[in-house]
Order: sequence, then structure tokens, then C-alpha cells
Amino acid sequence: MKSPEEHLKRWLHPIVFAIWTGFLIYLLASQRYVTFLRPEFGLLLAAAHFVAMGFMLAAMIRPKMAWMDVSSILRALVLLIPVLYFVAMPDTMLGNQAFKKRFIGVSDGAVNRQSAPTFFTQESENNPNGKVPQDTLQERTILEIFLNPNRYKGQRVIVRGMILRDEKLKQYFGGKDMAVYRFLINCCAADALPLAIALDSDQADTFDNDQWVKVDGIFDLQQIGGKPVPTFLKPHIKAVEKPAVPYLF
Amino acid sequence: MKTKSSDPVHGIGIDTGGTYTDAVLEATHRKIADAIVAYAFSKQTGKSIKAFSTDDQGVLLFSCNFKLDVPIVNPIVAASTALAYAFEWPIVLLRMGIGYILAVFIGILMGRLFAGSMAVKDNDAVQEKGASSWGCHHHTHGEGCFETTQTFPVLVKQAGNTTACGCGNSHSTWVDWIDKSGAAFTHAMDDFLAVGHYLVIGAFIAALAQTYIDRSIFLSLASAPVVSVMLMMALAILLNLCSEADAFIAASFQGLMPISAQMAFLLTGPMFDLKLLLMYQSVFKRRAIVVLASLILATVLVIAVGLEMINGVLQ
Repeated sequence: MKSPEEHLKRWLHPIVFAIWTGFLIYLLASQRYVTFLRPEFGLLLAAAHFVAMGFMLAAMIRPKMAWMDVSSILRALVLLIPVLYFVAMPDTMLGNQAFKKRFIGVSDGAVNRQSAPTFFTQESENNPNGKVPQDTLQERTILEIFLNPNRYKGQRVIVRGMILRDEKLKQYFGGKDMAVYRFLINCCAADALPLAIALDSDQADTFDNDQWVKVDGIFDLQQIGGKPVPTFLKPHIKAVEKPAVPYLF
Repeated sequence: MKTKSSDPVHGIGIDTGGTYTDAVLEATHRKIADAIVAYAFSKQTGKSIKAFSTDDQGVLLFSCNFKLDVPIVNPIVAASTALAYAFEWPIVLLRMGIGYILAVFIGILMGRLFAGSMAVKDNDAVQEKGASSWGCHHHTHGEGCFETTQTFPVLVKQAGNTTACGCGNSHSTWVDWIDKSGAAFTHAMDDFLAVGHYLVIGAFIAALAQTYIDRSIFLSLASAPVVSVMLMMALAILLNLCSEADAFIAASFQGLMPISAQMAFLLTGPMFDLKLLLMYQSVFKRRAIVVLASLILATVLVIAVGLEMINGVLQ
């Protein structure tokens, strides 16, 4: 009869890879991976799940037991830390703490995708007048506004995001200490960039930080310190549920 | 019995947790990988494949070039950099061009500096233990073709052999394919087990850095020319970003940091950060790591400061 130590040596690696296989299947099936990864990268996770399964089978059918000491057991267990983290804090997402650490103001290069006009361009490609028709008013993302700020300037716009009230914002938003924000992810949460629009309103006082809200107001680019600062003038703010996909991509 | 599987060709001498007899199973795909490395190495240096010993320090040169080049000079990184910088092609070309030159330069220097000494850990473990990680998977250790000690396996049939593995045993293609797949997965699994924990620990350190480092602090010192470059290099080391994503972070500093500092960020991160430092420790000896890190940081600093001095070309 095999001793517990022998069982550990025989089955530790297959179990580690079985846990990872199950974890990846769970992330894919539940779509939870979008809380830290770009949705298109689900394909990579699917591929990773097959690799983990292959590793599990390879570890299972291995003819000889893997040599193992305390160090190698610990190293194998370290591989489970990401899984344990996710299980312990399944609903964790980037919030105001991450915003405060990552926000460096409104730079002209904060969002530069697809040759999109920055805050310094004068007109939209599709709309020479640079204005969005009011009869097509619908909810926009903060990213859409950042990509075409002049198109929305002076227009009524509806966006969804999180509320942030912090003294630190005053230096970036001309004395305003409130903003609605979301994170833009290019690959994964590690590169998430905060996109924020200042709120020129007292109503936000009634909301806690990181409360999801829908903001309906007039978008403006106010010149502060020689830089255009995106601002909502007299917005109407309403609390809403957290969206299924909290980040912008 | 404590076992070690050393892979001098790949520059890795690490405890894989496998047995030496398991190494037999790893043979087939390793043959291919090793032959490719040997072929590429021979093309680079002009020597014949068989002229190389797996312990040849030139492999260090090759692996350094490869390791430093690949994260920067590839189409995905070029595309992401172009996207992040709104298709400002000079930025993309600068990153690719300087990244390539730096990698070649550092690789050559490393090859010369460590020509007479070993930079790679446990490089001769195979010889010490009398084992090899390649061979025919139809024999147990010490039998048949596994006894051969050829430096680089040759991917041609030997006289009298009926199979590509050179063992002389006949077996069906289908069984071969399954064996090869199994060997590939086993070897990949061992490699993953050997270095995977470094990735997790590196990611943990990166998460701490992301959580506690206030990026706006870096802006307060941005006005000093050389300081801004050094700060962005430090940020690249601390954030541990992948090279496909770091251009977007660098681009967010446009207008806030000089382009030379952004370029320093784009060049440093893919070649050296906390996560890579841990990974290097599993492969290289401490002296080699210190030299490699110093070379990377010094050359990037010089290049970035040089860019700053010719400022106006890009701005």
C-alpha cells in the first residue's frame, strides 16, 4: 500500500493542472474573465485550457513518479495562488484606489486609438460640423467621447460610469473634485487606464465613491491651464446597476 | 533519487522534478527544438551544426539576442505600438530599430564577456549525471541509441534505422505521433513546473507595485531631462507590463513626459523587469544577471539621453 507521501508525489501535479483546467473552464463558461481580460482573449484562455488539460494527462500517465522535495511541492502549490485569489475575491475589480494611483491627468495621448481625433482636433470624420445630431441621442461610452470629443462638445450626452469624489481631482479638473470614470483595458487589468470626465454638479455629493451611475448632461471641453478638460455641465445623475462588463475595451 | 534535467542548448539548467528515465520520453520534440536552435545558431555564426557543443558559450550570445529581441521586435508589438501612438511611424520604427540593435549589441557583449566562464547555471548537469534528455523513447535509460552522446541530434535517418528517431525500432506513424505529442506535453509541463512559480511570484510583485505606486509622482520630476528618462525606466521595471500593452501606458504619458523618456519605458520593460529578474535567476548565474541588467539599463539610458539631445527630430 502506498504511503500518503507517495500519493502526494504521484498526484500533486495532476491535481494542480486539473484545478487549473477546471478554473479555466469556469472562467470561460461564466464569462468572468472579462473582469480582468479583454473579451477577445477568451480564445487564448480556451487554448490555455487545452494546454492545462494536456499537462494534467501528461502528469497522470507519466510512467515514473516525479521526484519531489518540499521545495518542489511548494513551487507546485504557488501555481495555485491565482486560483485561490480569484476564489477568495471573486467580485474584485479596479475602483477608486486604482484610479488614484493610475490617473495622471488628461493627456493628449491618453486615448489615441485608430487615429482618433484627440482633444486638439477640430472636427469629426463623419460629421464635418463636429456635432452629434440631437435626434440620435443615445447612451455613449466614455471611450466614444474621448475618441471624438469635439463631436460631442456642447451636446447632451448620456454615459455610464463610476462616481469618484477626491481632493486630488482638483488639480486636474480646475477645482472640481468630482468625476465619472471608467477603466479602459487594452490587454488586461494591468494596463487599465482610467478615463474620467469632470462633473460640474452638487448632486454627486449624494453618491458614494465607485457607485455606478448614469450621467445625463451637456458635455463640454473647458480650457484649464491651456488644456481642454472634459466636463459635464449641470448633469442629472442617477444610480444604476453595475454593468455585466465593467471595463471599456 | 534527486534528478535534474538540464537543457544546455536552451540555456536552462533547472530542476524539472522529473526522473532521468522520464527524460527519454522528452526526446522527440526536444530533438526538433534543439536542431532548430542549432541550425539558427549555425546560420548566425557560420559554423556547421555539428561543430557546436551544447555548452558552447556562443549559445549564451544567441539566447541573449533571442530573449531581448523577441519581446520588442515582432509584428504584434509593432501593431500595438502603432495603435497606441496613433500610427506615428517614427515611434514604431525607433522602438523596433533600437530594440533590435540593443539586443544584438548586448548579446555580442555578453558572449564576449562570458567567453571563458559559465554564465548559465548547472550547465553540465547532464554530463555529471551521465544522462541526456534526448534519445529514443523506446529504450530505457542506458540502452540502445540513448547511449549516444552526440552533441546536437541530427534530424536525418541513420543507416539501418527505420525511423526518424534513429533508434532502429519500427513503429507505426500513428503510435509515433501519440508518443511525440505525449513527449512534447511532458517536456512542456516540466518546463512550466520549473519556471511557472517565478511567473506567479513576479505577477504578485507587479500587482503590489501597481497597487502602491502613484504614477503622478513620476510626473512631478519629469521636468529634469535625464531624471525623467530614469524615472520611466524605473516605472517600466516596477510595472512588469507585457510588451503588447506597454505602448498604451507609455502613450498616456504623451504631453507629460518627453518622447525620450517614453522610449526608455518602451525599451526597458520588455528586456528587464522584476518578473524577468526572477526568471533570469532560474537560468543565469548572479554575475551574469548583474552584467546583463547593467548592460540593458546603461544602453537604454544612453540611447534615451541621446534621443533627448537630438530632441526636435521627433517632437
